Amino acid sequence: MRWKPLLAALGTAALLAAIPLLQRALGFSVYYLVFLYFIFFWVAQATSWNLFSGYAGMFSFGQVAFLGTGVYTVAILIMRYGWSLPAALPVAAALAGLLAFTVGWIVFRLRSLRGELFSLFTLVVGIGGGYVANSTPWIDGGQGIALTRVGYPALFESMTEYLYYLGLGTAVLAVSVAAAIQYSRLGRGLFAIHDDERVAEGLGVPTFRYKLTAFTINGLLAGLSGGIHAVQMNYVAVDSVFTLHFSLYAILMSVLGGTRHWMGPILGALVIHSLSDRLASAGFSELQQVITGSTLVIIILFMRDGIYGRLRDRLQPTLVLMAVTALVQWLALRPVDGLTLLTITVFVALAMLLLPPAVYDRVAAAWRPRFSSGSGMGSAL
Amino acid sequence: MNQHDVILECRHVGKHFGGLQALHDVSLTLRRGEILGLVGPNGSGKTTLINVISGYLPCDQGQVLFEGRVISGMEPHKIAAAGISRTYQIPHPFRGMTVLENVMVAAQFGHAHGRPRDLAAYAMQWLDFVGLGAFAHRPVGSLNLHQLKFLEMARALAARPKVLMLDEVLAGLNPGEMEEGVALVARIRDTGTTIVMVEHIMRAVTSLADRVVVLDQGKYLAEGPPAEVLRRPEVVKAYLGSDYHA
Amino acid sequence: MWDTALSLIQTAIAGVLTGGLYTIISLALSLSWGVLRVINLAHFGLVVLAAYMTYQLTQFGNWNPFVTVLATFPIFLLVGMGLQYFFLRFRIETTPSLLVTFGLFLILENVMKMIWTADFRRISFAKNPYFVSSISVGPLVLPLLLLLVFVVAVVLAVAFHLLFKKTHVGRALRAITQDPAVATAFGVDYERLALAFGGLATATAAVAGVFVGMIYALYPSAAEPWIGISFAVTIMGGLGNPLGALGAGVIIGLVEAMTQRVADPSVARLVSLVLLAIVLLVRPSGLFRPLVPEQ
Repeated sequence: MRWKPLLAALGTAALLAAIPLLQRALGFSVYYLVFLYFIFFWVAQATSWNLFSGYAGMFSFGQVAFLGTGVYTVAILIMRYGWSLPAALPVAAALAGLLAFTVGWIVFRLRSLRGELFSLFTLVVGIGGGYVANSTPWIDGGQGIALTRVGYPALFESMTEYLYYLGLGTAVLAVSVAAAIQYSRLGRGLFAIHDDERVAEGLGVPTFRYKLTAFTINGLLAGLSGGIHAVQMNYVAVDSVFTLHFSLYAILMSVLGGTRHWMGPILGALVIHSLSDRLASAGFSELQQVITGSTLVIIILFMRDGIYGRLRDRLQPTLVLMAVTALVQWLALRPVDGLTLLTITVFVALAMLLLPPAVYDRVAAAWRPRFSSGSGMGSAL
Repeated sequence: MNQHDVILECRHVGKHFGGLQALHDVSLTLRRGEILGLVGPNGSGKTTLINVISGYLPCDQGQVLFEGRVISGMEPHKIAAAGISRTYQIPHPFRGMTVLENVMVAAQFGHAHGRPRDLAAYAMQWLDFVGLGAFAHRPVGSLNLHQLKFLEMARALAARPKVLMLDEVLAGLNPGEMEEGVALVARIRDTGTTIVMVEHIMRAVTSLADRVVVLDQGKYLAEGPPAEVLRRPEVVKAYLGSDYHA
Repeated sequence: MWDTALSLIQTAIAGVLTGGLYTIISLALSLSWGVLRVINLAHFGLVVLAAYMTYQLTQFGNWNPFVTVLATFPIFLLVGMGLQYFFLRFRIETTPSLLVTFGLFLILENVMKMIWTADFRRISFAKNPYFVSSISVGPLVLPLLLLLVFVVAVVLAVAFHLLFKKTHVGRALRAITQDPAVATAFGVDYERLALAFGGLATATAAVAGVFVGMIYALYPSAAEPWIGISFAVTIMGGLGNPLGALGAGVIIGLVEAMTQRVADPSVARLVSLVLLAIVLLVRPSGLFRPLVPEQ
């Protein structure tokens, strides 16, 4: 078990928990809280997707079905039956988990639905969920549901703050679960299934049980996160909830970050969301989607393992570069919007990570002859 | 034959794929501690039989019994957990893991006596046993065929099986590697594991196997001590027209 | 009672004919998945792009809409070859192709949005009189465009079928589907064949685009409803089986049309998905046989 990344993540979570308090004290824009909420949301979505599809290697395109179940459960329970949010959330999670369990039970029993056929089936479930919601008046019927008058505890200063903490909590939960699985027996079994399911089974891995377990957890977490998101969305409609793009972004973020590690989806969510937020606010939403699509293509072609591995190898130089970039922006471009600064910094770091190993090694060697003692070029002499 | 000696038994096993009858009324017994050679020309159903015993394929007729219990129809991972392991004709390592991690999977899920507490150290023992200790932290992609075959064996062994089924583990090896392979199989038998060896290389079969069962076109043909059985006219006739290495 | 029967037959025929359109749209997906082992999600975007091109040429260039295919077909042939080259060069297998082409689809959709905006575009009736034309067969009234679509679908399906079964090239294609390595050993030029076939399959988007442009109002994400239907046609018809795709398209069109009589339009859209789900669970190789049976 690698402690350092885990401690870093927990430390970061503690810092993040303090930010709303800072906002209250210093009075900077509330938009930062909203931005971070969305990061938490995507971290939860991508992580929940990854702990089954990434670890086991069976790409589900049905993430949106779990999200949508969570969203609509909360919307219906709150608006039609007068439940409170804390009461509705566990139900949302449970229903989404039940959906995952049912679909998984059917699909994993059949050996014939491997690989791309599994992806296709989950795609159908995702699209079908939308059609069902649209045609069932009791669920949506094409009307949409407006979430008005949702209360928040007096402890928090605003709904934004409340959602912030709910989102943070869910993200921390999802990441903890993903990390726990990664280093557990379940995780080892999933990785074996990823590489060769038949051989894994022959070695004693209970493949059906493991796949079903991970897939159900995927549903539970995605449903929980979706339930919270319903309140954020404020107005819930089939067209905005059951879009293919939710599924796609969860996949993209995990693949970009790296599917074999719990850190991957976090990195991917950070990169993709900061870009899409900045471009969308600037009015360039089509350009943003073009860049998102291009990123997916580039990653699949050149870096199928994602950026996590490279980040670990190039950690110090990357952190230094990020600090320098942030500093340069702060000095040269004052006043600068914090989020834009963050996004540009993230992108410079990404560019560093995208450098092919051959190029990077040459650049690193040029920078470092003074620092290498017994390794590299020094020892050749 | 003393009934207590029988560890694995196939009774009238049949398996068909569409119109093709891959196995027809195959019965054989495996005695504890022996090396049984499973031979026959190409297409005689040897690998199919291994697949049926390991549970990957269900058998259409007949039964497979392991230590007196019927295992045919059980899920493959339960059969593995009960103590039956196998290797594959073409090695199938887990490509996303290191050599050591491959063995650790087997150690964690196999039949190992009690759950070994230090998984990595335990797995390392088996890598050393097959001579791959130095490669423990290398990615699987850096191994050649001979090493991959030995990794298959280390992996199968780390599960501590009672019965190990080797599917053409010597195929594709050069003479030097083959000597190592034969020695390794003998060492495995010495640890108390019962072995079924599917093999085409007759030299290896005659030197290692205590008994040999011959299959031809999915049917049981003959059985007995290797040197004697392989000289029988009906066995030679079954092989006529297909190559075998003397 | 006669009226009900007549109306039923009318609906059934409309459904069957619409199935022809589904077939044409799905043909490329089935062929590239079945033969080239690539799932090309970008194809849906290409159909919409072709439809937009037909729209532009007809609405602003005063071309006859049918004639536009002479311009769009070669373009998409080249696009298809380019795509296939890209898949070959980067050695993209089936599952990664799903993701890569999804990315391409996203790019395509948004480029179209940037060029044509999200507003609905429709060829005016003046330039597209065929839209309202119909043919009377006895008491039945058949929309001309639907009839033509169906005829073209049959022609395309039969053409590809004959290509596979009766020509030398077709035999080579079936060989590379079965086992590219072995086929190459027997002298089949895999690359050249894959490029040509990939181009041809994608070029059918041009044909589909003509009809989509003439029948529907266009908007950048118009492709999305087709995705479910196309996968249903592809899987039900058997991968790479053109006649199977035709059969599956007809079945889906028929069931959808009949469902629409008794239920909501949105329930009708669910039909293809339910059929697909059932087929995937019960008989994933397809109702009809795939081009090359699974090993």
